[in-house]
Amino acid sequence: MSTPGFDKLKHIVVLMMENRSFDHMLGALKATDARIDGIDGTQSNVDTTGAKAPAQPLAQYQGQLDPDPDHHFPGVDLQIFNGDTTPGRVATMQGFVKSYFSQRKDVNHSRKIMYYFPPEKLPVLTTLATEFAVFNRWFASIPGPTLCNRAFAHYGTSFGHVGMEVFYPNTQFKSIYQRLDDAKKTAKIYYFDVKSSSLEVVNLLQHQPQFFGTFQQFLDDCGKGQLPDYSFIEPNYSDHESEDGAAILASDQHPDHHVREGERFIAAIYNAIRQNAALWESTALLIVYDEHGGIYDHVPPPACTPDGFVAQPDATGTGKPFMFDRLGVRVPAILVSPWVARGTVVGTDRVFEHASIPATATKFFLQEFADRSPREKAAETFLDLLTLNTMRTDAPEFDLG
Amino acid sequence: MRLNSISADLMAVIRVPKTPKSAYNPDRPAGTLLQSQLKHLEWAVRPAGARTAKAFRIRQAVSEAEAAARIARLNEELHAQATAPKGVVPPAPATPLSAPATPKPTAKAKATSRSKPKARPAAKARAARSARRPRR
Repeated sequence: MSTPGFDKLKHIVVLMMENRSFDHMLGALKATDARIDGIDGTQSNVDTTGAKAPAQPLAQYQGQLDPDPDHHFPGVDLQIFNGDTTPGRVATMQGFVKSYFSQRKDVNHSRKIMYYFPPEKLPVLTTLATEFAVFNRWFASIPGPTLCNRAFAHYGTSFGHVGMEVFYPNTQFKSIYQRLDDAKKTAKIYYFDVKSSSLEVVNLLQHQPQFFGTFQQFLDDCGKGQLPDYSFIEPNYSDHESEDGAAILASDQHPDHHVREGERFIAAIYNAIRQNAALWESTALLIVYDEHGGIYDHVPPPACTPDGFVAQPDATGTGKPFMFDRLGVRVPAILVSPWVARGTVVGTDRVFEHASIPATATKFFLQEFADRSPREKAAETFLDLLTLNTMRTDAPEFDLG
Repeated sequence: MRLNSISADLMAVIRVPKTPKSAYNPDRPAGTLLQSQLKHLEWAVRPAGARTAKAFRIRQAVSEAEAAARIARLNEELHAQATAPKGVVPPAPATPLSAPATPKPTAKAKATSRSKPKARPAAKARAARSARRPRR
């Protein structure tokens, strides 16, 4: 592949946020762009009284999704299949309200799992989605929680895990950071600060400090034009005080953290790249969410290439093994680059998942790397979206005040 | 703030309001993600032989602030282990697997805390950590 944007590309930056579904964050965009597979007014679940619970644009920044909606393997299985455990079952996406009801036994509260944001409440995410490329079919890698899904972004597999278990070192496939480092390329995971640290603990254990930096270092590296070839950014996972006593808000958007703080975090990353003209010209920024967090999405996750691992029934909690042959729930994903055509909507015929991240970085920086998981080898890559012959000068900017 | 370094004639400026201060709640109960992160970090600072499931139990963090403080301390320990010269025994973990977050003071730190009974817990923890850290 050779386009001017691809030829100029030097840096890939990935920001992985937490626990929001595509419909919840971007589904409202269908009203203004029919190509976006979002909410059209027909989507609903049935609550435990038998009443229809429609998807509604009533999502709030905070205080609505407490308790944290279930997103562990059995809970997600219920959300997708609505309790059907028969062979040949069909994914209906009709179990979200039922699943959320089981946590608080409050019918009215359970219906809030269907709520989504009107675009004006998410000016950063929706602007980037409409100005650059939005993916109609980017799914979590596993119908389960955070850590196994994030593992796919780092390794192209979760090594058979479907939960939050400790990941053991010396696994059979190298992380994307190790692969790049071995090839004399540069790669870094930027966690927010030491009080938030990283969820990629095995690499933290093995490769401190060469693979890690803080968010402030990311900003500094952008300013100095010293960004590594590949960067993975983690948001702040908790409300805590900074070293000088200032209040630092969680920016991961995990319920029940304030969603706007995550918007500001996304904008800060975009601005940092955008402010350095040389960096802006040579960087592709992927913004993606690790999993849906138990929140409604209407697109059934498709089957996928089996990963070669099996999670046993005691690990899945469903009484059945899982062959890693089906993706998790759909999540928001946006690719930002001045070489992406405004209003690009990646069609429903192209399916992406988190293994697409190391697959893309490997393809671009290393071209070939044989020893990868079956899922990563089969994963779609996304740099063909840098289609423009001339770099755009109309990209938006965000005023963070 | 405008991005003056980029020249463009069709640049939209989108204002993103500040998050309300009322959103800040460090006393919010630490969720599954933070508890898992703590567990993983506690696991990572152990010597390999102490990472067996049987030996591995930690106390859960009550609040996000507590989780953040413990995560910072564990991150610091991991960093010290990773950057220690080869052959140097890494510092012992700050807490036993099932102990409270605040490390037990060493003899020296205890003496300090007796003479200053109103010392803040964070200061005591720093003193204890400092006493345990190998001198270079």
